Amino acid sequence: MKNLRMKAARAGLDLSQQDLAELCGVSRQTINAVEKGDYNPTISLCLKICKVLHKTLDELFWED
Amino acid sequence: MEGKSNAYLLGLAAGIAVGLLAWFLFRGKLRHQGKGDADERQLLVRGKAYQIGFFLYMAELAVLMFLEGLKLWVPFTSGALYVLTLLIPIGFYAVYCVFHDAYLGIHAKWKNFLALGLFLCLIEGMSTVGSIRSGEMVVNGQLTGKCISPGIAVLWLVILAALMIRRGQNAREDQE
Repeated sequence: MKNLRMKAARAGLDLSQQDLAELCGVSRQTINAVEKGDYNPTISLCLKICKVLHKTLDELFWED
Repeated sequence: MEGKSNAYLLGLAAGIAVGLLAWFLFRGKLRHQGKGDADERQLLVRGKAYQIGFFLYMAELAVLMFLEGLKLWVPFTSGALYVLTLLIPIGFYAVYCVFHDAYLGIHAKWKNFLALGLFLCLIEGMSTVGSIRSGEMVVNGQLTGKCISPGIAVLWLVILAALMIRRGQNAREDQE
């Protein structure tokens, strides 16, 4: 399932996928895979993404 | 003849020693700078590629042993066959990782890797030409273990081609 909230949060901070990837210490393709729902990140990566995007785990990764 | 053999062994030992030293120094430098290699997704992909490649190699060995039992004539010596069957799963691993964006690490520089690959192709190509001219490549109508040089050159070309194709696909990918 696509993670549109993460994509929106990233866009809200005017960050590209490459920018977010560099801040989280992963490759751009990994960020792309997470946003497209092709890859389930570990909790460690989830926390890094939340920290960079100033969001909580629930706000970005909790399935409604 | 003995002198040539000693020089060959000495050169081989020196080459291995230099390679090991360079690898040791390079790895130590990367660790000191805190640079990682592959991220978590890439590690998973590499593991999957290795698993498939491993079982592919086991299947190839089983087929080879079956064919050897039949004692059919093939245009390869047993050494050449085992070399070629090893290159296939290695190639699969590399191409699988390339098309899942897991071959090059996070901090790997594409241009440096391209230059390295082309250089190795050139070296292996020169070795191939030398083997063909000395008549060691084909003996009694069979391809010998010397085919490892052209095999590695082809493998590198396949990897580089896959990388270029994937780069083209990534460039067209929507990043927004």
